[in-house]
Amino acid sequence: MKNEACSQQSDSTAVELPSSLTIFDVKDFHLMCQNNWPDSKRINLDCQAITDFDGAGIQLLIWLFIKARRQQVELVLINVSESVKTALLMYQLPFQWLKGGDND
Amino acid sequence: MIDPVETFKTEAREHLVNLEGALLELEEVQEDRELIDTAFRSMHTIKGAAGMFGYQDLTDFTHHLETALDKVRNGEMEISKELIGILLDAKDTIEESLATPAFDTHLKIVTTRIISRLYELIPEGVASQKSGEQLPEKTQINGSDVYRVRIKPSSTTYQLGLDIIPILRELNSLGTCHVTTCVDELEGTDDYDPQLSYLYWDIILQSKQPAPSIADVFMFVEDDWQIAVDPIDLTDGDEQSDKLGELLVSRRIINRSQLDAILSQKAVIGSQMAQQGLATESAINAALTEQRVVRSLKQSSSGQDATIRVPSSRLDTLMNLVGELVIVQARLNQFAFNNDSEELLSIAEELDVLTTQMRDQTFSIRMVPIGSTFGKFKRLVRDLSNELDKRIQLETYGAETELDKMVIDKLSDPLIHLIRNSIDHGIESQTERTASGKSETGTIVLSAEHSDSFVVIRIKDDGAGLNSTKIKQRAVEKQLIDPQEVLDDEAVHHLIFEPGFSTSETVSDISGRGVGMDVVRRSIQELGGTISIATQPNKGTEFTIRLPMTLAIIEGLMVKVGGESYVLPLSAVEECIELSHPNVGSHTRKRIVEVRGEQIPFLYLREWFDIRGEPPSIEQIVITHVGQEQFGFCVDEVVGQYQTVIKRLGKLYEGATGFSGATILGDGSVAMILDPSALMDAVGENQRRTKRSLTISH
Amino acid sequence: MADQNNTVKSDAGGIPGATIQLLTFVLDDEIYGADINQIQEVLEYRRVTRVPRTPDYLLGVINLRGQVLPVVDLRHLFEMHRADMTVNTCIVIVEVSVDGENVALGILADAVREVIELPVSDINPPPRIGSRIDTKFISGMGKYHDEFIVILNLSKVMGDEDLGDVYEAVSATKDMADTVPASE
Repeated sequence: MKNEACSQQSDSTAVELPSSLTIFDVKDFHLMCQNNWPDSKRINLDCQAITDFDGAGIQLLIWLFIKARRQQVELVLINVSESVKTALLMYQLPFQWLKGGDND
Repeated sequence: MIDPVETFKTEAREHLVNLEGALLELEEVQEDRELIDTAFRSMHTIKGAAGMFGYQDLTDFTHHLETALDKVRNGEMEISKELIGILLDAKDTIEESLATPAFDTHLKIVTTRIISRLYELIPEGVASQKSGEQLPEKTQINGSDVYRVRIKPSSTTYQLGLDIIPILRELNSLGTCHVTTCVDELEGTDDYDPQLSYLYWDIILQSKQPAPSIADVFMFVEDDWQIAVDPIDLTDGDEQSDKLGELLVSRRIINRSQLDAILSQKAVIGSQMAQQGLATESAINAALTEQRVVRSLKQSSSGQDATIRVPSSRLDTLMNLVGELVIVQARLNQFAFNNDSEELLSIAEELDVLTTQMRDQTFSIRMVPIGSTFGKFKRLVRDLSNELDKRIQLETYGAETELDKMVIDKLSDPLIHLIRNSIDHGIESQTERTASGKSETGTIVLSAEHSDSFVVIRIKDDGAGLNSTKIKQRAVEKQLIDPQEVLDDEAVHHLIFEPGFSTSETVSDISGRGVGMDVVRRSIQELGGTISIATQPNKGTEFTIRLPMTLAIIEGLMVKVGGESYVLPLSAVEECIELSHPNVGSHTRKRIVEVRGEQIPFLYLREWFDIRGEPPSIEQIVITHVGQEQFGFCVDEVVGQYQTVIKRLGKLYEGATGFSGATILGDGSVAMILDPSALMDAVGENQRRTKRSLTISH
Repeated sequence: MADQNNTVKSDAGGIPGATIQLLTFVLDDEIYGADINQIQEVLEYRRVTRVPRTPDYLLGVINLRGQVLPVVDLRHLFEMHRADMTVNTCIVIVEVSVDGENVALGILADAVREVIELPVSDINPPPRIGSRIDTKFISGMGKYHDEFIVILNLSKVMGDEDLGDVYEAVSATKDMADTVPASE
């Protein structure tokens, strides 16, 4: 269920998000992020695998953005599927969460 | 209360008109971003609205069309003549389907066929499933209400199996949402538990749905969440109300003294507040959003584009009332005049000014640009020319020319018939055209303009022109004229307006069907207008329609003939001259008067109306213009200007020529309103008949 | 409200005890009746504005509370003797259905009598001959206080046919009537 691969690549790290990011998964994923927070200026969150998510999952993503901002790390979502994009658009978040800046 | 489904249907039809217009243009230009967007948006709006009003079959159907248009928008698919054809057929089908929410067998078959034709064109890899995960695109709807929706789910909400995402999705489907996700609690917590909910939302919703529909969205969560749905009043003229500071105060985020303190520091409020920790960033963002939305909505509602939908029946009632008001005001005028009271006269005059303004305003409400009907004609030309395999283009001018809505509605059929006629009989086939040295593509020009207080509409084609010989032959066949009769060109051309006349051997499905040229002329006459023809063999034909600008109240000139009052439309009147020695020539009703070297024929109304008694020694001739011609009317006396409320004469007087209606005078009696052009025609006709009977009796 | 099929049969199996209400009025010394449901109101004679060059049976138009209504002279239409106007002359405003449209118009009457109620069973069919006007315009013949009442079918008179046709039909009838000896 959990599929994290963190690869170090110069100053950016890619983190693969799991296929399921719901109320049932957030606790574990959160713990994993706390323990394995990458040490780079930029983190690419790869959303390719995500098929299942809910409000708790999106909230967790938001928390990741907040944490990244605090640490002055650039967090970017890549390989965002239509459904995730749609959901995030609904939230109209005050972050640059997509490469190319596509909020709102 | 207006039935919302009726509103949906009316608006859907408007969107269909826009869609059709865009598609027809796209057929010509192919690559136009704006047109593609217009087409997409129209289809999208229809789809969304259909869903809201229970037209499920229609929603599903339009979804496919929307998908195709979306592909065009993204550049994944090209515009082709085929695609346009399919989409136009779809448009027709959608229009048919508006009648009932569910598709009947016929519609099911037709729509399935359209969809399969559509998917033959769409490139591979398109899922044809239903709407599903699509985010409803923000639709701009005028006349919607604005609400502030605040949502704070309980902290255990996720654990309870509730979720914000479906709620947000539903709100988006109700209208346009400006969402502020407030993350400050999430930011502020040191001990983040991902299974709890920390976020809350401040949403400005612009929706046409009534408040209960909005409240319904929260049906399953309202027990656990904090929900507030508050309407925002855009109409409040209070300048302060949308200022950021005021918004924050009204939201009880800061209090007034804090606001005053900040304002006195003259810095940008938002940042000040954030710095001083008076308000969280989220709160400020949310308030800013509200400010932005409310300001833009206030602006657009006070801009020229704001419109309000009114049932025409209400306008009709209003018009009638204004008409009655004018009549009563005329009575007051007369009374004031008779009673010679200074003060009463001045009051009556003031009232006169006001009623005139009111009259003009009321009429302008019903004025609609004629361009609204042009789209229909373009479609007609396209379809017919395809059917007949002729190449024809339609040029239009003067789309912004305004006419009374009722006139436009009544003109629709006659204009369609005239255009059909041009296409069917006027414009020749490509081979014929090239043979006579013309361009392959025939042109029909439809133009509208104001002239005097008339609207002039012209339909001109560069086709074969009217064949006078054929017309005469036909008229003889139909026994409309005698074989030996000598007619000038104009008279021959006007024969086509006679009932029972038709030059086509077979009543073609296209221009036949009992809508003859005689009906066209009658319809135009019923509107108080005239139609004339100009034609040249091989060059083309031009029909000119002249209509009076307003239907119900006109400025009139009151005259008296034999003790009875009559009214002539002032717009037609040029001048009045005295006639002290009337021409006596009793066997001909048409007399001539010379005015500044011009010979102007006039009609002696006493005689025409068969009035006995001695005429006054001095009579008046009112010279009017009818189109380019001048024509006079000899009356006993010219009384003066009169605001004339036109009352129709009704069915029994359908045959009475020369009268465009009646009006009620200040003293309650009725005066007939004369129609100069009809009278002129009638005199001409009478002369021809007299000549004919004279020649025949030989 | 206009009743197209006004023909009444005396042996009709209708509702026993059914009655009709008529407004009775006088045209050239004869009494005529019209279905009360078609009658809007009765006006005193007032100035009628003549519309020139229209058939003589169209007297002209009047103003009724802002509406311009035509006035028809049935006496002219039925080629009766037209007495001069008296104080009793009235205009009866009726509403009939003409070609599917409801049309209001006025009918000139020498005098207006009263509203009477007649049992349907007492109404006789129109006489086949000897009637001054074509029987198709007559719904039936009634009797009230020893007087005969010709019950007019106004819809038929004003209705399906052009008034001009009515005029012609009337003239034809009159020609016929003139050649046939009147019988009782």
